Amino acid sequence: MNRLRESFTTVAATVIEGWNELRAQRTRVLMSLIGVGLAVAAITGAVAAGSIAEQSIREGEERGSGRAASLSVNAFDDNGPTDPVLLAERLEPLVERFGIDYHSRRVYGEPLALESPSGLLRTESAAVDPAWGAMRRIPVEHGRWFTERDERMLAPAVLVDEIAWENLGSPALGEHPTVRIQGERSATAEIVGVVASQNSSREWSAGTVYLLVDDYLELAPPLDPMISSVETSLWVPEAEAEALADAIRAELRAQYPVTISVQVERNDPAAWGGGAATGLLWLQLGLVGVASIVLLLAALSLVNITMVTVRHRVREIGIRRAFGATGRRVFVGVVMESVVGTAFAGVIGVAIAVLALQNPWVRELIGDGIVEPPPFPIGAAVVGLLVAVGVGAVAGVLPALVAVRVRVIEAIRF
Amino acid sequence: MSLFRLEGVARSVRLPDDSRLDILAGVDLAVDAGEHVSIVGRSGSGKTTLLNLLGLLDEPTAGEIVWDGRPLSALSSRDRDRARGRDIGFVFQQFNLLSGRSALENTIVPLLYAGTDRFWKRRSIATAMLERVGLGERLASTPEHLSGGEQQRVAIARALVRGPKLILADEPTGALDVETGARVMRLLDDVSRATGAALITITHDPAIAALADRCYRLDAGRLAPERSGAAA
Repeated sequence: MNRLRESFTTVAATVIEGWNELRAQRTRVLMSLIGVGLAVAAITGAVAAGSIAEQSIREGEERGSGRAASLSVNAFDDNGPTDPVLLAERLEPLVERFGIDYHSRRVYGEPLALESPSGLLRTESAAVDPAWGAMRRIPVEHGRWFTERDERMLAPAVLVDEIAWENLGSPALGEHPTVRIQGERSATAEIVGVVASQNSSREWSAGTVYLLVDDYLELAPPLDPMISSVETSLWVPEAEAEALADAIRAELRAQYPVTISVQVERNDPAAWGGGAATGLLWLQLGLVGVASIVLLLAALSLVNITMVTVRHRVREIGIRRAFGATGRRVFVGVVMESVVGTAFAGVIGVAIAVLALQNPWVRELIGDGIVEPPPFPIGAAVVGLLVAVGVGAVAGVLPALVAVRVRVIEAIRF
Repeated sequence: MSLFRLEGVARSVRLPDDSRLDILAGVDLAVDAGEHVSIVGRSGSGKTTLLNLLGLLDEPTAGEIVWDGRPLSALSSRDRDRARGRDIGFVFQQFNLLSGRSALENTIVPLLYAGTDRFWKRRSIATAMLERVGLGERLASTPEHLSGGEQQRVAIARALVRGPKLILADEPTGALDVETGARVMRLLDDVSRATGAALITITHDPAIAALADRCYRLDAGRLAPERSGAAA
């Protein structure tokens, strides 16, 4: 116990000594530590920004193809897809039996005409089931997504994207705005939410209106397989995806004649290797490479400055040795000065990276449209700090060897 | 038992032309705990070399130093470092305070290498020692803002803060005016007697040397008794 206490005291005393030295020599070491701090900020920032950008890309891919693991269910014959309503009816009991909570259809139907202050607005239509929002990470900017209660409402509930919302005069959702939809039949729908636009061009698109599949089928002309298509998706646990796909395929095949082909396949990005996110790795490695060169230059500058500092401190080292500092203590002390300095610079560097990545403008730039912003990756901060401490230790060794070779008598007379 | 003994100690250095320069030769000296000894000598007589040997900062080329009952040759470099930190306090002519560090921080330096208890109580121990040398109001002052007399008092506080058995003072009044030097010497003498530490003063000033119990003269590397000091 006493030995432990003694060891702790020695470590504490060495750190305090290092910190006091840094305070006294702050002007000399400041410039080199700026380099270390910036390099650590760059490395930490690159790792963290990479994970945010990866999340953004993954979410983008998942909006298009579904989250891991998404199963796409199709039944078609020689003429194309079969009746989607029949497929939905046959799938329903299977979804119940296998306990699949998230399942939705997505009808790529005909445009719908909305009455707007500036006249009729021909918007694209996206007919889905309530689970679609969670399954495709649809970012709701204002209001809310569909709930199952909306399926029982007499007036259809709709969401519009930002383009359509602006075209409708950006009505306040708190006032339960309605919009008249003209189709095969007309209806007045309540706008319950606004989602981020998936369409980047306001010039070519009047926006998109999201509505529930059953409401769409009421309003729109009967589905024409030549124009419309229906996608049926299931979101299942990744570990069970393959077994569920096999089971559902087998069950559906048993219910269709042999002339109809049934497909139940995974189509999410994770099933085909992550897509664009892997390309990001090279960009990330490039950034870390550049930051490493900056760090190396900063470390060399730190070695240089510490060497000069040690030569200026020969008398001081002699005084410390006269008052009982052993050679080992002087060695560890000089290394510790360097380590305490770079660790401090590392903490500042990590803080800069955290603050930079919390900046809304930076977030928007690298994580555009992100629904679930990842927290600042602890791993990136740890990597940054370890790199800083490692650089400090390496940069401190050479000056420490010089310090140990100081002869006490000459040093005091210096 | 003597605190330390020098038995036939010699120190020489090899010059660039490969000749040998004898700085000290056949030095015999024994000092007991609590004694006050002074050594006088002209410049170049070997005073500082003798001080370095007494302070375990250097090794003799011949003879033996017995420190606290153990021959110096039997101590490792680390043991000597530790013994120096634990048992010896230095007061230098040029004070040798760490610039940019306050009086308190300078006085704390030896406690950074002391044991656990004294390390964790370092601020209170150093503060008490500075109060004892009359600098309780100047704790935060750096050497640049202290007079010569005050700097030497900080140096004395630093030398005494670990309670050494021996205080080695190398021309402690050399950089001070006569009046301040006399006050500093009285303080050094009082504090060392109060703590029971032996005091060896190396000086060229006969008035300072006269304050000691025993006085020696160093001449051309040889040490000889000058006279009995103040106690006699």
